[in-house]
Amino acid sequence: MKIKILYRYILIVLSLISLNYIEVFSQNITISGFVEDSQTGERLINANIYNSNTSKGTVSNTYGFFSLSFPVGNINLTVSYVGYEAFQKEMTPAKDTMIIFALKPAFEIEEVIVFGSKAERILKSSQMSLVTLPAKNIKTLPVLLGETDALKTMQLFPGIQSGTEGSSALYVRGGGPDQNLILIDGVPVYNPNHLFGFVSMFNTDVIKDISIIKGGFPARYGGRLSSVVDIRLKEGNTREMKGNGSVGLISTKLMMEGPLVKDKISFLFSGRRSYIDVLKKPVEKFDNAVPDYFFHDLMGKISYKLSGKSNISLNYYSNRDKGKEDEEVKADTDDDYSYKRKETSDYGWNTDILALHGNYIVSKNLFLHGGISYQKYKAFSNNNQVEIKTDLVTDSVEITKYFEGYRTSIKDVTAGIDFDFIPSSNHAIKFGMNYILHGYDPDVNAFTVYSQDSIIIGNTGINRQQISARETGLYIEDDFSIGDVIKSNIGLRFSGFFVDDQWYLSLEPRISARVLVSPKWSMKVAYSKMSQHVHLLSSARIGLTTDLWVPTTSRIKPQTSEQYAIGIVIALNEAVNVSLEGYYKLMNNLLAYKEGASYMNENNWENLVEEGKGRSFGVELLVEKTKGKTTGWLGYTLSRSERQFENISFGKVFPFRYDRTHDISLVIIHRFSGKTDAALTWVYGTGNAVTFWTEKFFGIDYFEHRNNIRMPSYHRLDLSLNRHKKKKWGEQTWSFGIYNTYNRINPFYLKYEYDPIRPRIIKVGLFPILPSVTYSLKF
Amino acid sequence: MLINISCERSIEVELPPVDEKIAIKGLFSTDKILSLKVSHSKYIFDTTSTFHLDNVVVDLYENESFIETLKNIGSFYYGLKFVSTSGFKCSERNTYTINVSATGFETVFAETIVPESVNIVMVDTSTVIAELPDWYFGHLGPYNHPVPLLECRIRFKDFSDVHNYYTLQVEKPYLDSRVDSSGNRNWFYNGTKQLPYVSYDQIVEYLINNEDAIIMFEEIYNYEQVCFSDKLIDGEEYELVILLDKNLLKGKTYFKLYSISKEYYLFGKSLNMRPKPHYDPFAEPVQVYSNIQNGVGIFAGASFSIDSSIVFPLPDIN
Repeated sequence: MKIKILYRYILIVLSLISLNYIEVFSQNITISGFVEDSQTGERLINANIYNSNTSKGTVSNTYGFFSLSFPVGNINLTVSYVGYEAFQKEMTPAKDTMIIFALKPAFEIEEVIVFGSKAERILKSSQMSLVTLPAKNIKTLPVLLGETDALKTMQLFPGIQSGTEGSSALYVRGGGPDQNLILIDGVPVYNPNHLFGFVSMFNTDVIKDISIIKGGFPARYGGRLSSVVDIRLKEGNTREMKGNGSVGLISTKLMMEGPLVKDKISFLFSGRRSYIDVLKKPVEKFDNAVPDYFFHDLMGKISYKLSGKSNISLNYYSNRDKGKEDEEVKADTDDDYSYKRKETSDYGWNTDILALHGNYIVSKNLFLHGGISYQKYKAFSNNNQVEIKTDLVTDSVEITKYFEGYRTSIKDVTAGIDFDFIPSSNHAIKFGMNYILHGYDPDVNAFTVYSQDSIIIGNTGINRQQISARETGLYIEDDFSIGDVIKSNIGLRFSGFFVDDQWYLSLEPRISARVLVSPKWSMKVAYSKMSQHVHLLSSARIGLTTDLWVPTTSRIKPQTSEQYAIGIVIALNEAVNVSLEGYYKLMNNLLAYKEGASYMNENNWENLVEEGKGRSFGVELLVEKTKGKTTGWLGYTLSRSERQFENISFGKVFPFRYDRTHDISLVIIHRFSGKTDAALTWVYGTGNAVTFWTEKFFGIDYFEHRNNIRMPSYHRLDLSLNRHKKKKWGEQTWSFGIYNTYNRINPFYLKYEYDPIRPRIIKVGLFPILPSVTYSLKF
Repeated sequence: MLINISCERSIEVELPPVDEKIAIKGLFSTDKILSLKVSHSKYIFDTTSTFHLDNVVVDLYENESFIETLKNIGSFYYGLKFVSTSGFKCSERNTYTINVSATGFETVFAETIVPESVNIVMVDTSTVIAELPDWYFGHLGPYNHPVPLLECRIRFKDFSDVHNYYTLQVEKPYLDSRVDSSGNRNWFYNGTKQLPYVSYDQIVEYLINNEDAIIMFEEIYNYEQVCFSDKLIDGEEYELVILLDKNLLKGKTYFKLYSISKEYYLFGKSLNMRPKPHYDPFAEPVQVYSNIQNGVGIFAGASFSIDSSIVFPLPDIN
């Protein structure tokens, strides 16, 4: 039955594609080319190109390319993009024409801060559950410790939440943080975090465009269940040298870009480094509580426009986190011995990515993008302890050393090719494939005990289990219109994963549709089937560097999901739009540690996990004001997310740890003048669900089900003020912020404090009221 | 600023209180008169040491037919003990239900099916010299050297297509004593007493390593004993291998293979695993199994088969 349905589905897709050729063969002219920034040469993504004479339009693709066909005759083209002056031109092309539209940045008169998509684009697009963030506007919002962060800004939209205080991990529509496909210029990233998740690795100065899709996934995306975060970095200014720099509370960063050969070869370089480790040195003697910790990230890109039709770029990204702690403890002395213990821990994680990309305009309506990349991700943790036992009588000393280590790594080599085929104004077809060689090293645990003579007393050894796998994806999708009222994107993705001599194959239909009920409101529906071949194992008790990325194996099946979504979009007026969406998502083959299992167990990780399922559903409301001196949005999510595992809570359904019944975000941005703007964010969320023993019987601690209690709710007010001043050399900005303005102790975790008379539960918070100041400059 | 950032802040929170419920501990088997213990749960922050239960009524049913109201025969630290005054013993393949009520508590009930017993086909033995593990305490205290052990292979055939769960108990004659009116202590053999054993059985080892199916009932029996499911031996004839300290063997040695219900097994397994999160901060929380509707605790039964073919000289007690 399923095969019949899929067969019919494939026939429909192919029929729709073949219908295109009817229009192609009629008398049509095609205008194609690029839309770019006139000052920097940066290609603009999703710029609108509209012919008012035919009421047909298109948008530029991820590489700034567009193609628009129309009958021979006069055209009236308008090219527009958020933050730029619209370009209008009337012409009568006699043949197919290639044009580069160079748009001028708009002066900051009426609107400077715009979030979300423009109302019309949201209204008319077949894509639903989409949030887009113009990168330059992310810097306006108040942030933790002055570190502007794209992922944290995304958490302010409905359906997207943070897990714990300060974390930049994304939990989208009840999914886990491993279920987000985070792409940097098309390359997936495993761990995009610094500083235990408090800051992400994305330097906002180099981001050109960022969008997140929460549902209705087009077929070109695959490999994760819950979201696609598509981050596009700048190519580099091809006209003149420019730079940005900033000095903040915990890090400093610098970005430089410019032409190596004007209008032909450009470079982009950025670096950021924290200095917690440097600043703590003077106070180390008095307070060694702050660990020796640093992070840095580097990004380098060289882009070469080979011709008007082709270009290549070589990209390198690297991020590092490393911490170290030393502790010396003098333990109790008894009558016979004195004991001293020294402990040194170091931990960290690294990501390195090297990628080569190329674009080529094959014909007026066929665009090609290809790329290869190499990525290595590694996380480690080492703990060395030395115990010194001194005989108080004889002064003899006995030394015992312990070592405990944890390492995990992933290596990926990826190759992919994608095509954009725009045969007519009613169809935009994408198809392509990718191939990934994976090398996983997920489970390394060593525990060695040495005597003072360096004789190994005990050694659990290295539990090394390297897993190689191959993954492939093929897709085709068509974004087409039926008249002006109906627009739809229908696609099919085939994914394959080969591991342990076994293939896992899946066909993933994707459908989304929009009905334009009136010029002011549209209704949308979507269905997506997704699969995922990598899992992130997190302890229910502890997250952070203990999280383990593990692949699908012959024993562990791929995760799968099906998501249904329905929504309406209303453009109340030019400035305000409202979107209301409902979703229902089913997930299978989710992984969790078994009850009692410990990630530090020397057992193979496959023996420590359970497979189960999940369900999430909810309603999301977003009201946005995108124009005027005051802009912003209000987001509200009402949702439920559940899990069920046969051997956890004895098969009972229990709430997902990050189930959040109510989630509210209020963002207000006000521009006082060209020199001063301010912002306010207020967030509220139902507390996370955690497991706590709440009863005792016959002396046995007991809880009714996993994640049985709710942490206190989370809410926080942040404020920011930016003062800009133009200088001869550029512009400087002083940014002042207050995080957690009313100093609420939001729960980071709960702990039980035993006391025979009065035991209690303590809510431990992390961040008090935190002012910040950042100085940045553009030159 | 750095010190400010690095400091945690804490504040006490009130959690919604949890209503007290009736708690039952009723693990019974076909070889013993049915008895159980009744208590009540306490909120985790209630540090009082008293347990107050009034007008407790425990009704027992077999296959939905009323058998009797169990009698309160005394109290213990956590509550009250109840036993069948008619000497009722459960039998295999029957369903047993209890209804328990008490003043001020919601009535609770529980149901369990006593599984069919699995016969021991035979027990083979041989003497081996081996060291016992550090945790083993024999009658002379902990052993630090190899000692003569009796290796016992208990053979049985598992039922196919049914989920079975087993535990093994080994017993010896119990030497009891009483002081008579003249002040003389008289020794006599009275019933049986549990013997400790060690298992290095392959199936047992595998299941332990997989955190699945094997547990030791420290809180239920006097000594640790193996407990396992038929996951790897379904429908097969199997030999379970254990080691006994020969110094402790006197008279008949009784091998009792209990077929325990799934509830019995889940309760024991979760009880055995639950200390882990308390000493390992990375261990996942463990939920203790409960099959008491509207309450907490366990009501579960077991049947058994016995082999007593191994006999050692019984010392003269006169």
